[in-house]
Amino acid sequence: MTGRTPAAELVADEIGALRAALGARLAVVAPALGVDVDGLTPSEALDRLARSVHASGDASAAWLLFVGVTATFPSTTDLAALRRALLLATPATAMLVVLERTMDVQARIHSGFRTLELVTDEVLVDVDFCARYEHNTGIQRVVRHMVPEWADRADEHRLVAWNQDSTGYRDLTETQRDRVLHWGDRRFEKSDDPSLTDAELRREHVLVPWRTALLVAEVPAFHVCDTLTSIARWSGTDVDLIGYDAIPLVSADTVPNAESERFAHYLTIVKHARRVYGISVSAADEFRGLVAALPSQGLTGPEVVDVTLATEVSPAARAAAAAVSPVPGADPVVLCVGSHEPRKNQDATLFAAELLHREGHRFRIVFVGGGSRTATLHFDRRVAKLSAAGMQVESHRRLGDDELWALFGTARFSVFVSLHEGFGLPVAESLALGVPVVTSDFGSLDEIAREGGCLQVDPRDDTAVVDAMRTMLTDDDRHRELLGEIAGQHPKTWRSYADEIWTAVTA
Amino acid sequence: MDQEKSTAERDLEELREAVLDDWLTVTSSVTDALRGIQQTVSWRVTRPLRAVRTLSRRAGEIGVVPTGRLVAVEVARRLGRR
Amino acid sequence: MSFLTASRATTARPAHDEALRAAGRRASSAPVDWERLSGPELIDALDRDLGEASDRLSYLVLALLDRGVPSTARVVEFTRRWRVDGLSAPLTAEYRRGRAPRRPRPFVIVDGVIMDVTDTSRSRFTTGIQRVARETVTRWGRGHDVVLAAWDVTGRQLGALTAEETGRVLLDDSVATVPVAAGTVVIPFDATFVLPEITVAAERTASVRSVVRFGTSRSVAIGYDCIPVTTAETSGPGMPGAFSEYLATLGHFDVVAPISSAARTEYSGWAAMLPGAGLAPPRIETVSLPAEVGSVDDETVDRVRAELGLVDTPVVLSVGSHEPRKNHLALLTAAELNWRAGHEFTLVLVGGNAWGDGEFQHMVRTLRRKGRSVQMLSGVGDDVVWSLYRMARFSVFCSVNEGFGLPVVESLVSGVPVVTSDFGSMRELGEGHGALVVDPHAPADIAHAMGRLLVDDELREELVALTAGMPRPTWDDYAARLWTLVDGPSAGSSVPEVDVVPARDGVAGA
Repeated sequence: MTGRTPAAELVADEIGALRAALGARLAVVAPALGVDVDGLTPSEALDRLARSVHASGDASAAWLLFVGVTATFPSTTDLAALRRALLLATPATAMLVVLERTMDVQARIHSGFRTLELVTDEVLVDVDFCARYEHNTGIQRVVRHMVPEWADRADEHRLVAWNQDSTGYRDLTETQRDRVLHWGDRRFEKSDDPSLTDAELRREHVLVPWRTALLVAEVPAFHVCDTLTSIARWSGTDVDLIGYDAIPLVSADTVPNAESERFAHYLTIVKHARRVYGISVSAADEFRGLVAALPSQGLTGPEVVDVTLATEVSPAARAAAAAVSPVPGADPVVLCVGSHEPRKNQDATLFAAELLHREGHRFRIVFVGGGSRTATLHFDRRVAKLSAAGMQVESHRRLGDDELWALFGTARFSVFVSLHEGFGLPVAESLALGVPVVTSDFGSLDEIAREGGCLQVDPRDDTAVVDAMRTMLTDDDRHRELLGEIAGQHPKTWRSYADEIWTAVTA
Repeated sequence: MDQEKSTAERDLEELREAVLDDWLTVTSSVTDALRGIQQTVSWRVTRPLRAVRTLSRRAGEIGVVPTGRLVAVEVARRLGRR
Repeated sequence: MSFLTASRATTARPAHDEALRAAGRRASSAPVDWERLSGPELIDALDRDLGEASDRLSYLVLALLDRGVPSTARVVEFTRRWRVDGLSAPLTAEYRRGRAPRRPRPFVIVDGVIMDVTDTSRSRFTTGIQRVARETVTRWGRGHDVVLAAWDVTGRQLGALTAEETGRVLLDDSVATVPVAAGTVVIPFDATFVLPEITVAAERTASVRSVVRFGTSRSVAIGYDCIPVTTAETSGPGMPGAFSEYLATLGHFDVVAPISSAARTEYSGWAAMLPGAGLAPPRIETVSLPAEVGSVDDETVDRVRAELGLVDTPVVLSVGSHEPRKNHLALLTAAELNWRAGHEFTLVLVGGNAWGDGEFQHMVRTLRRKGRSVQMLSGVGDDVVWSLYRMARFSVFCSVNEGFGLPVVESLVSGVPVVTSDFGSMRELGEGHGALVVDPHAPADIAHAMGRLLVDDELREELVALTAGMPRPTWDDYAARLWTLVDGPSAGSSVPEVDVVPARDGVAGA
C-alpha cells in the first residue's frame, strides 16, 4: 500500500464496497435465472450469469441481469442494445459486453450500493402520484377510495412508488402510506416529500417485479412510460391498467399538446399490457378502438373489460346535503360543478343561463371548480359582466367540501354538459346527493344518466341545453318524477369496485 | 498445451477482475467527485473507461477466447499498474 | 337597433365594407344593391337579410373581415352574441375592432374543390406524402376544376399559390388548375376541402378544423398512418402531441382514405374511439397506393455498378430514412452475423433524413473497422436507386411499423426479393409476391432469412418468379379512385363559383 494517496485509499475502499454490493445483487437474481453463484466472487458470478444469459438468448433473462448489475430497470433501447451486443458476443466476452452496455447508466445514476428484492408472490400496485403528492384529482380520488378497501388483503399486495431518479420501485414511507390509505383521516399533516440526500439515494432498496402481477392504478408520468413498457415486455410480469379515458387523443384539440404527447407514450405501455379495466363502457370502448389498431404493427394488445366506477358518496357528504333544504320562496339554485376547461363546456351552460334570464326566469346559478387562468379568465369576466347587469350568477374557483355539499342541499338541479368524459363523477355525485342533472346524451354520461334522474341533451346544441334547463326550472311534475327516480337508486360502492378489480387482477 | 491453457485461463481471470475494477471505478460516484477535485490523480480515471471499451471491442472482433496473456498485458500496460 | 350602434359614430372602413358586401352577395338572396351600402347601413342590411344566426354564416362574416380563418371558439362565441343581441351589435364590434389594414389583401370565396398543398408547394424535396400529393393533383388538374391553396406561415390565412409554388406541385406544366392570382386569400365556403398532406403545425391544424366545420359541404383527407400515436416510441419529441391534434381535426372530415389496409386498420381503430366524445367518425375508405417504379437501362446499371465499386460482390440493399422506426440496428446486427458466418456481400444503405442515428453511425464505423463491406449513400438520384435495385441480390426492409412500405413495392416491382416484416402493410404487400417475412424485433430471424437468400439460388429464383404476380396499380388508377370520394353522388357541383373582389388598390382578384 506504499505510495497511495488518501484519495486513492478512499477510492480503493469504495471499489471494494461496490464490488461486494454488486455481488450481493447478483446473488439475488441468480436463482431466478437458474444459475448457482454460491461461493463465487462477484466477477466470477457475473461471468457465469452473462454466459448463461448469452446462451439462452432470452430477453427476460437479459432484463433481469441488467437489473441485477445496475439496480435500475432498463429502458427499452438499453435492453435492445444489450441483447444485440450479446447476440454478437461469445461466451467468454459476454461479461465484457454486459459491463459495457451498463456502464453509461451506472455512471449517470450511481446506484452501485443499492440492494434488490424480487417480488414474485405479491401483486404490486403502482400508486406513485397518490403516494408522493398532496393533489387530489379525479384519478387520485379513485385510487384513494379503492386501495384502502384492500386492507384485508394486505399480505397479498404491495404498494409501490417510483424512487427519486425514476429508475426503480420502492416501498412507501409512512407519510406516503398515509396519503394513499388515510386521505379522509390523515395521521400526518400535509407536507411535501423531502428530497433524499445523496447518501440515502445511494443505498436505496429496489423492488423488482418478476413474474408477478403489477397494477398501474394511475396514469404514469411521461418519463416512466418507457420503463414500464420494458417491465411489461420483459419482466415476465402481467401489467394491468385502469383505463380512465382517451381524451388526450380523441379530444386532443381540447387539451394542451404536452398532455396528448404524454398519452401517446402511455399507449406504449397499453400495447404490452395484459388487461385494461375501463372505468365505463365508453372508456373501455375507447381502449378497444386502440387495441383494434394494433395488428398493423404485429401486436394483439391487452384484453379490455368494463369495471365501472363506484358512484357512492361519503356519509358525511350525504348528511351535510340532507341537513340543508331549498329555502321556500327563494329563487331556485342551479349548480354547475366540475374543473373548468373547454371540454367541460361551461360556456354553453352560461349562455343557456343568460338566455333563460332574458326570458324572465328567476334563479341563481353557481359555478364551482378550479381551472387554469387561460381557461377561466374570459369566463369569469363574462360572469362579472352578467352579474353587474342583474343576473344572479357566481363562479367559485375554490370551495370547501362542506360549503359544496350544502349547495347541493339547496340546489334544484345541476348541469354537466361536458363534451367528453371517461366517467362523469360530477353527475354520479349529484344524483347520490339527491339532485337531478342536465347532462349529455352520449358516452359515459349517457351510461350514468340512463339509470334515471337526468335530462339528456346534445351538449353542442345550445337550444337543447336551454330547453332542458327551462324544463328543470318550470316543470314541477317532471322535476318530481326525476326525484322519484333518484330515490330508487342504489349507488355502486367502492367496496364493490375494489373487489371487482382485485378479483380480475388476481384471477 | 495444458499449461498454456491454464495460463490463458488465469490471464482471463485476471482480465475479468481488472475489467470489473475499472467498471466499478468509472461508475463510482466517489471517483466522479474526485475527478472534479484532483486533475492529476494518478488513477487516470478516463483511461480505464477507454480501456474497457477498447477491450470489449477487440474481444468482440476476435470473437474467440482472447489469448489471455496478450490482452492482460495490454490492459496492465494501459492502466499503468503492477 | 341595439344601443351599441346608436350611440357612437362608426369610422368608415373600406376594406371591411368590401368584405361585408361580399358576404351579402354570397349569403343573402334578398334583392339588395350591396355596392351602395357601407358602414352601419351595410351592417343593418345584413342584420335584416342574412337570416338566422348560424356558425356557418358567422364563419363567413368573420373570415371575410379577417381575410383569414377565424378560430372555432370565436365563431361559436359570435353566433351566441348574434343570437342574443342580434347581428348588428357583435358585427359592429368586429367592424370597429383593430386597425384597418393599409393594403387589404384581395380575397375570393370558393365553393368548389380546394386542395391544401401547403408543404408540397414549399418544399424542394420529395417525401412520400408529397409524391402522392403531386401525382394526384396533377391528374385531377387534367380533368377537373381544382383550386390549389396553401396556408401562410401564421397558419391562419389560406392563399393562392405563386407560379413557382404551382410549379413545385404540378408535375406537368401543361396542366391548369383554377387560376387565382398569387396573394389572393382563399375563403372556403360550402366548399369541398381536400387535404392530401398531414398538418402538424398547431395553427394550421386548428384553422383546417375551423374550415372543415364551418366552411365546407364536403371534406376528404388521405390517411397515411397513425404511427406517431400508435408507435410513439419511434417518434421524435413533439410529434405525437402535434399529430394527435391533427387526428382530432381529421375527426371532422367526411371521408378519410387510408393508403393501405394496414393504414385502414389504424384509422378504423381510431374512428371507433370517437363516439365516446359524441362525434360521428369519418367514413374510412381505403384507396391503396400504386406500385409504379422507375426504370433504367442496362448501360446505366453497369455504370453505377462500376462507380460504386460493386462489380464483384453480391449486393444487399436497404432503402429508407435513418430513424429508429426503420430498425437499422437490427439490420446491421443481422448483416454482421452473416459476415461472421463467412458470407461475402456488400451492404448498401440508401437513405437520408437521418435523426436519432447516433448508435447506428457508431455501429457502421465499428463494422468498417472490422473490414466489413458497408456503403452508405444519401441524396443520390433516381437512376442510382433503380440501378441498385437492379443489381441487388435482395433487399431488406424490416421496419417496426409502416403505413405502406414503399421500399417493399419498389424492390418487388423491380424483380428483387425482399426480407421484410411479418405483419401489417409490409406483409400484405410482400407475402406471396417474392418476400421472406420475419420478426423485425429478432435480429437472428432477419439474419437467418438473409443467409438463405445469400446462399440458396433456387429459393431466390422462386421468389423472383413470384414478383411477376405483384399487382401494379398505377397513379392514374389511384387518382381516379380518390376522385370518386371527392366528387361522389352527395357532393356539390364540381365547377366552383368564384366570387372575386378586387383589392383596394385596384389589383384584380382573378
